[in-house]
Parts: sequence; structure tokens; C-alpha cells
Amino acid sequence: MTDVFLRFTQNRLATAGLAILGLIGLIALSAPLLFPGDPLRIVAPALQPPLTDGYPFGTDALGRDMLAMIVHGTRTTLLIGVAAATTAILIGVTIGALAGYYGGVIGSLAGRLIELFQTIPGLVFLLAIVSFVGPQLIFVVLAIGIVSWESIARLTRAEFLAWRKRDFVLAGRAMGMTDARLIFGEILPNAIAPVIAVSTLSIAGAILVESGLSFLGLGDPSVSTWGRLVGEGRGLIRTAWYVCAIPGAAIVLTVFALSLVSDGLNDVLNPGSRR
Amino acid sequence: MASHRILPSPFSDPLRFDGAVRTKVTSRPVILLRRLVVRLVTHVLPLMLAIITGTFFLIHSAPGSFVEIMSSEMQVSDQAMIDRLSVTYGLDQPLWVQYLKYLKAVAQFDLGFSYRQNLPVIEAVLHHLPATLLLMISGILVALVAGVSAGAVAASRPNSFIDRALSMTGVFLFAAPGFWLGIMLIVLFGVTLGWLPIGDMRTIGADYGFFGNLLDVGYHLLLPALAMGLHQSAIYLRVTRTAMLQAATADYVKTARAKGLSEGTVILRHIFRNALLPIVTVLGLQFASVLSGSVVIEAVFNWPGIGSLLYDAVVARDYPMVLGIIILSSLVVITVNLVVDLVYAWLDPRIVLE
Amino acid sequence: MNAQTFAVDTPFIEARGLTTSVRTKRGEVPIVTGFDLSVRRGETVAIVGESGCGKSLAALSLMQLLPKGRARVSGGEVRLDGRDILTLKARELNALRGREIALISQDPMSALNPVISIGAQLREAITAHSDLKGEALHARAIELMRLVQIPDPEARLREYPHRLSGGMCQRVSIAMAIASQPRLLIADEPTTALDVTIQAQVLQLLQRLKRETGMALLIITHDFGVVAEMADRVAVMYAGRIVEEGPVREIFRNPRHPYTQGLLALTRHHPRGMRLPEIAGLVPAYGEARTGCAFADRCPQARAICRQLTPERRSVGPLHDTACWLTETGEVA
Repeated sequence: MTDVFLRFTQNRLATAGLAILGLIGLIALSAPLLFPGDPLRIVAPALQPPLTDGYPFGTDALGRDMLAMIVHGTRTTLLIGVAAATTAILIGVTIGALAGYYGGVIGSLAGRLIELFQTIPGLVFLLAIVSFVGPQLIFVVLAIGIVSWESIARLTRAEFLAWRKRDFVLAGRAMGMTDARLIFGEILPNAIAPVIAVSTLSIAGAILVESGLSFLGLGDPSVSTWGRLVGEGRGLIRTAWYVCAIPGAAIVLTVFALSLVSDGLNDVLNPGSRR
Repeated sequence: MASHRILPSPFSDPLRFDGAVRTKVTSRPVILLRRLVVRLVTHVLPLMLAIITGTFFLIHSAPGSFVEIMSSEMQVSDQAMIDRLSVTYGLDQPLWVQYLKYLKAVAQFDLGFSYRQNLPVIEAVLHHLPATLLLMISGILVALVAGVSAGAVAASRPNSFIDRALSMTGVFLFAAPGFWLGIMLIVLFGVTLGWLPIGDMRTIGADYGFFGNLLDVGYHLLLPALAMGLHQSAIYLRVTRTAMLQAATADYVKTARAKGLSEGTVILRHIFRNALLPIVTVLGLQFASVLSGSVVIEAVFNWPGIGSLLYDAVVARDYPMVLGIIILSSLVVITVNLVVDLVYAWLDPRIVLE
Repeated sequence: MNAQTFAVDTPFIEARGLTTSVRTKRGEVPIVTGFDLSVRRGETVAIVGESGCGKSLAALSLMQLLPKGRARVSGGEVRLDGRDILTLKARELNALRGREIALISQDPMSALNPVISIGAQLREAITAHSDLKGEALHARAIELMRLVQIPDPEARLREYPHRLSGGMCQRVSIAMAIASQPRLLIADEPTTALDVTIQAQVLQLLQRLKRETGMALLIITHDFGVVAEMADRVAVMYAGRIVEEGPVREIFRNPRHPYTQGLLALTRHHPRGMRLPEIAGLVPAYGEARTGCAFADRCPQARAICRQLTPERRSVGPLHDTACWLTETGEVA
């Protein structure tokens, strides 16, 4: 494990990504200390440009502090991203393992399910779910998970297909190990490395999907994420474009850092997959 | 000297010869047609059936009766009217009868009536579909041209400064949400520079004749297509780079060079031709997410496509429309994937059937 | 029958002090060092050695076909009819590849492009150095397919490589290689990937084509059986250097380098077509700072000097040289 970490740190870009993520995580944790009180309260005249005294990112159309909103938005955005990605990983690894481990009816049904979810446009499905069940945070998280597990499942399936015919698995089966034992005890530990790299990326994907939903104003109205901040600033592009630009830049930075870390993990955990 | 022109004797018994596969050569169109039919039966039909069944269960799992929600949205309070709606939607019948009726209706492209648009769903969707397809295809073209050429350049000088710079740009574009990229493009080209329109599909109230209108649409299309394409191009950059680097190490590339072919021919005919296969695969895999991206981009640019329709439907809880869009957009994705699959089989002679 | 009559001719191609380096994480490492070899017109020369000794890399260096960015010629020269090909521009190199020197690779299945038809790949080899078009081009393709004894050439031209057997693919490779009547054909392990029965057919084919066209042949192999059957002259390579070179009969009868002796002794006890069994000890890892003879650690007769100074090649008989300290004082039996 330390060896993996050492090799990871040799990749300067990935290390930089990890550092950025660490910083973002720190900001998310300390948001209530940095900006105590409700970040959505009106504190100053409307549309103060960035670098105004006391408001380095300026204020929005209602006179709210942009910096405070973005710092608090870090919490919600990351929380939704991680929770939704976890949902996606749980579903994806399960279905992918079933599709890759079992032949026959179970395997092909699981394979078809992957294909099905690859076919339905994710955001369209997400909007449909949200319109049926309502935009409450928990539903949004689960729905994002439901529309984004497919790529994880495809990768897990490929890994399981590659591993299930290996000698140690066949030996385990001959010794009478249960399927569950073989899947979780024997194959999964071997198949997990590339899945971890993709999982990091799926957090990035979940953040992007959530910000799209919030941008459209269809997310949970009681939660203020970066995407929603961009959406709220949309009408101001002629007068105060920074209201859109800054929260968007926060999304870009976070997803950028997650991609770098994912690449780095992929290089370390999955040598030979890239040149 | 001319002895080689006479066929030597081993051929009198072809089976003695060193085992070339001696099956009949099947022509490519026949192979492709066969594949099309098989795919229709094994993929298209089951997937469509699954999607339609899924939407059916979505209707029945929604909190509150479908008709209750619908009638409240339509502000119908008359119980007689609600009962009539129930009958119209067959809600008074057993579930399996409803299911069969639903299947039959969808198979006839009867996707219900949109109370928000006051139109049959299918009509509204077909009316908005061309705008979305135009935007998607333009976006994909931008992504392919930008991504593939950047990937090819990066692969031609692996680990050089330009390779690193292009890869970094790719990661950045992948990280930038399409809607934000769109807004930034609007701020730059629409607001600050004033070169391009900031929204809509055509200049309102203007008529420039047929070709003029076409140009007008193209003019309005530039920014949204760019916003969609740049985000997607990151994926093609990566795939093209990896695929070309891999193909470049293949033995057949060495063979091609040894023949004395020019570098351009080697790269185009041998390296790129093989790298095209994963690019085409990704094109198919990405089509669904391009459609998703289009929903958001349409909102940014006020583009009159399916995305705008869906947005209105979700806000108004216009369920027949939401479900109709799911079914039809999936059908579009499935059709495109079928075409991509055939193109792949056409490009790769090794594929006959799995 | 053998083309030894040509042996007195001036060399067609000649490498002098050729050094080829591979880029690794720790910097450039020379894999082939001080490689001297010449091939005369119409002659068959074999380079023999264990896998990893640098023989393929040396052969690719002769055509400037090293993988770009990963290996390069870092010293010496290669002269073709007196011209140094290492200084040629890309365009001049393309004019020479296929026309002067052609190549067939080890694995015939992967040497052909899987997504291009056999016919298109063959025609491409023809048009690279001629203006043939249409009917004439097709006729030439058919003629080449007949020349390499492929049955039913019309149908085979429309096939894709995955539909042909390994032996067929190797024949197609040979057809492509001889399309522009090259003066030298480099065959890199031409039979290694093939079944034993097909190996013999392919070797016969090469021999016949050589006889008919008068081209020279440079065969890279690890198989002394192939050497005995095909070659006029043989160069034995070890760890990136030629350690012994001479006429085949002379080398078989009177091997002077302990490595050659070891190889031959092992070959005599093993049927043809098998991979060379290992001589005791390990081939030295590349990049190790090396002093003295590379074979010293495995050599049963090594002396103190062998580990201190690298031996130069010197003549030990007519056209026969070797790089070994033992030959200096005649201690080799």
C-alpha cells in the first residue's frame, strides 16, 4: 500500500490533483467556521463586483456574499457527489459482478440491464425520476446513482470475465467455495484496482450530473449547490457574468482534480493499461 | 527463369496444402444485412420492450394515482371527469390488461396526450426532434474534428510538450460542464465581442429566403454546437491518442514502412484506419450522454428541441410527455447504436457475428 | 549450387561499428554494439543467437525501421552501394525500402493489417515502387501470389488476413516483400511462428525465390538447422555483439568461440525447430556496466583477461573471424 502511494506521488499531476482535493475537502469541512451563519442571507448591496472590500468574489443579484455561498456550496456539492457515486458504485459493482461471474440466465440478464441503462439518456431518465418522485435531496442522490452506474458495471463485468477462468478461482470452486465467497473473497480483491480508478471518476461524473440538474433549477430547492448558483446567475450574463463564472470554475477545478487523481490511480493500480 | 509461371504440382491436391481456410467468401453486404437482422431481434426489440415496460412500472409506482396527479395538474376536480380519465387510461382494469393495452398503444406510436402542449405526445416530440438532432450531430462533429485531430497530433509526439498541453486541455474540457462552457462562450462571443447570437435557433421575425434562413440557423448553431462538442472532444482526444499509439507499435505498421510507403500513407491507411475502430465504439457509447448534454445546452441557448420540451414537461409534471420523451429518445439512441454497430462491422472484417 | 561464387563481389550492404540504443527509464542503453556485417549480392547470410541478443534490432537498423522514439542508431554507419543510409532523408529511405531491401517479420498473422484486404495490401506494395494501374496491377498481384504458391489467388486477394492460416499469411508477406524485386530480403525469424511442416515449405519457397531472382537473403534465426539449410555465411551474436563470423561449413566444422561451440553442441542433441536450449548461466542484463567479454561469466574456459578487456574480432581462418581471447594463444581445441 505504501508502495502504491509512493508510486502515486511520483506522478506530479496526480499529486497536484490530490492536493487540490485535500484543500477542497478542508474548505468543505470548515465552511461553518469560515462563514458562520446562513450563507444565503443578504449582507451587502446587490452585484458588488469581485475584489470589493470584504467580498472577494463580489455579491449576487440579491446582495448575498458569493464567497460564502461557494464555500457552503462545496459541502453540499461534494456530499451529493460522493453519496451519489457511492450509490452508483454499489449498484455498478453488484450488477457488473453478476454479469461477469455468472453465465447463463443471470449473467445475460445482468448484461442486458447494463446495456439498457447505457441506452437511456441519463439526464432524461434523471429528470423523469425527479418529476415522478420529487426533488428531495435523498431522491436526487439515489436517482443520480441509478443513472450513472453503467460504466462501473461494464468495467467490473470485464474484470470478472477475465478473472473467473483463472486457476485460483477454478481451484476455489473445486474446493467447494460458495459463489459469494468466490466473488467477494477471491475475484473482487483482484478486480477492484481498475474499479477504484473509475470510481474516483464517477464522483466527478456525479458532480457534473448534479450540477446540470441544479442548473436547470430542478434539484432540491432547499439545497444550494454550485450548479444552482450558476443557474441563478444565468440571467445576469450581460451585467455580472462573474456570478456564473465563479461557481462554475469551482466545479471545473474539482472535477479536474478528480480526473487527475483518477488517472494517477489508474497508472499505479493498473500498470500496462496505458503507455 | 520462367519456371515460376507454371503452377507446381502440390496444388493438384489442395487439401495437402498448408491449411488456408477454404470456406466460401461471403460478400460484405450480405454479412452486414445478416448482422442487421440478428441485432434487430436480439438487441433492438428486447431493449425497447424493457424500456416500455420500465416506463409502465414508473407510471404505476408514482406516489398517488397517475390520474390523480394529472387531474390536479389539469385542475380537474369533477369526479366524473376523473373517472372518465381513469377509463381512458384503462386504470379500472387489471394490471396485465393495462400493460398489454399500453404495449399496443406504444407499438402504434400512441404515446398519449400532452396536457401541457395540448398535442399528442408523438406530434410534439417529432416537431422538436429535428432541432435536437441538428444540435447533437453538430456537437458530435465538433467533438470528432477537434478531439481526433488533437489526439492524432498528441500521438505523433508522445510525451512532448504539445502532447502534455493537449492532454491537459482535454482534462480541463472534460471537467467543464457543458452549460457552464456554453455560458462562458456566450459571455465571450455573444456579449463581449458581439459576434454571435446568444440564443434561439433563428433570428426572430426575420426571413432571409431559404438559403438565408439556413445560414441564419448555422449562425445560431455555432455556439451551442461548440459548447457541446468541446466537452465531448476530451473523450475523443484520449481515445484517439491511446489507439494511435497502440496501433503504431503493431507489426503491420512495420510491414507497411518496410514496403517503402510514405509516412502519410502509413499513418492514414494503417495506423489511423485501425485506430478508427475504438473511436467508432466510443461514438456509440457516448451517444446517450450527448443526448443528455443536449437537454442542458438547449436550456442555456433557448434551443427549441426535445430538451426544452422535456424541461417544460418536468416543471408542469406532464407525465405522458416525460415518458414519451424517454421512450423516443431511447429509440433514437438504440437506432444510432445499431448504425454504429454496422459501421463497426463494416470497418472491421474480423467481425461477422459474435 | 550455393551462391558462394558471389562471395568475392563487393558487399551490397555493409554495417560498420553499428550501435543501436533503446530508450529506457534510466536513459539510453546500447543493445547492439560495434556490429560489423556485410552482405554481398546474391548471398545468404544468417545471424544466429539466443532471443534478446539484439539480432532483430540489428536487422531493423539496416532498414532504419527502428520504433520511433524508443530505439535509434547511436553510432556507426550502414552503407548500401556505398551510400550511408543513416544520413538519408525520409523520402530517400522510402525509395529504398521495398525496392532495395525488403523485410518479412516473425509473426505473419500480425504482420498483415487485419482491416485491409490481402489484395489491397499486396497492391500497395507494388504501387509503392511502380506506376502499375488497373488490369496490369491486378495481373501483377496475381502473378506474385502464384510466385509464392498460393492456390486460388483471385479469391485469396479478396480475403482478409484473419481468414488465412499462418503459413498462408507468411506467403502473402513474402509476396509483398518481393513485389518490387528487392536486392536484399531480410527475413526476421521467418519460420518461428509456424508449424514444423510448414516451416520447411516456407524455407524451400525462400530458397527458390532467391535462386530465381538472384536477391540476397539475410536470415535472422535462433535455429542452427535453418542456418545449415539456407545460409552461405553465418554471424553468431551474443549480447549485442557478433562474436564469430564465417562460412557456414567452416563454422560448423571448426567453431572457435566457446559460445558458438556451446550452441552447436546443444543443437546437435536437439531436433530442428526447437527453441535453443539455454547454455548455463544468464544472458547479462542490459545497462549493466560491462567490462571484458560479455560471455565470460558463462564461459567454461574464461581466464582473467576475459573479464578485464573486451576482445576484438580477428581473423582465425579464411573469411573466418572471432572475438575471443582464447584464440589469441591458440588454447581452444
